[in-house]
Amino acid sequence: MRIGVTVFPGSNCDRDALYAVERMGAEPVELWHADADLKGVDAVIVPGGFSYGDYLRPGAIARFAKVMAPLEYFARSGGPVLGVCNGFQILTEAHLLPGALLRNTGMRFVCRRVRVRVEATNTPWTVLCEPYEELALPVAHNEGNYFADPATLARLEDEWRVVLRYLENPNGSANDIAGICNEGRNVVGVMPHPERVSDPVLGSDEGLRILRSVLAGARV
Amino acid sequence: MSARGVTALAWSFPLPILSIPVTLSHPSLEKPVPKLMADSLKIRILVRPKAGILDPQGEAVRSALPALGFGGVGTVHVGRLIEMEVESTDEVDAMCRRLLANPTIEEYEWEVVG
Repeated sequence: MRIGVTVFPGSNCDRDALYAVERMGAEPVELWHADADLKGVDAVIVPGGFSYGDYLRPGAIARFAKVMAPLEYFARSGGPVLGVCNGFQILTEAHLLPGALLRNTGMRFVCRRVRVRVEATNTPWTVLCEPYEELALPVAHNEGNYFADPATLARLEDEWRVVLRYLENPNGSANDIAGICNEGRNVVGVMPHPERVSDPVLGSDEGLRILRSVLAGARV
Repeated sequence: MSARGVTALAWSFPLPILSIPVTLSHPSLEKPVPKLMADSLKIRILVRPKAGILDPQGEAVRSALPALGFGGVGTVHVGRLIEMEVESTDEVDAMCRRLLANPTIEEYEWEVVG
């Protein structure tokens, strides 16, 4: 399986993601922001960082990068896409996921490992997790405070589209949401970084439970 | 005060070793910025958090003011000011909706200022 990792100016988790893809046992493919196609990959990870310096709003400029056109087509036709951190912010700006990520309520950049619970295993990115499995994943963000209007939040809960939930909310996120999926369940956005815990040498490889899920067939 | 005036003031400081030449070279200190485009309109767009949406930046400023001894401040909201020169205002709303503001969390207003 070939997994693409998008690279925007200011992405800083792209190398980690490419390394994690190797650790998963898949073939990593770098997708440059100015690429006009996805090089035939089977899944895409939009990694974290500060694309375009977070100018205007996190993800606001990246959302119009050239590679986003084929990525949106891929996502809307059911291809598995995982947005991590800034990648999650980009996917909300691109309207591939609902809501937005606001400034953390504590006004501080939060960088630590937090415990999250897997709330939905019927997505291509969580199918290998146990229902309600608890994972310890690192977060590192300034705008991770998930916001959506009450109707959207209710819909996310009703449709079991909250994928990860914080057990200790680090940023004021609505309903303790750490990750959600789209209606088709193939696009998942999470604030915690599974790729940063993809090797025991990094302290843990719990993140691989999420990343490897996509190898398990992508169809759920 | 002109930029030159500030520099002169700094040089006239009695202790030469402390007289760091301050050159404030922001164009707004010199003269009004000439328009780059002929027949253009200057517009000012104000983007701010929607009413009722948590505004941690405003909250941080609100709590910092009393710490400096400024009392009587109720609410503070922090937004973003964007100034642009445009040939026509036809597409300003579309620009705001698609890029300059995120309608999920922000509201905007704009006016022609020149």
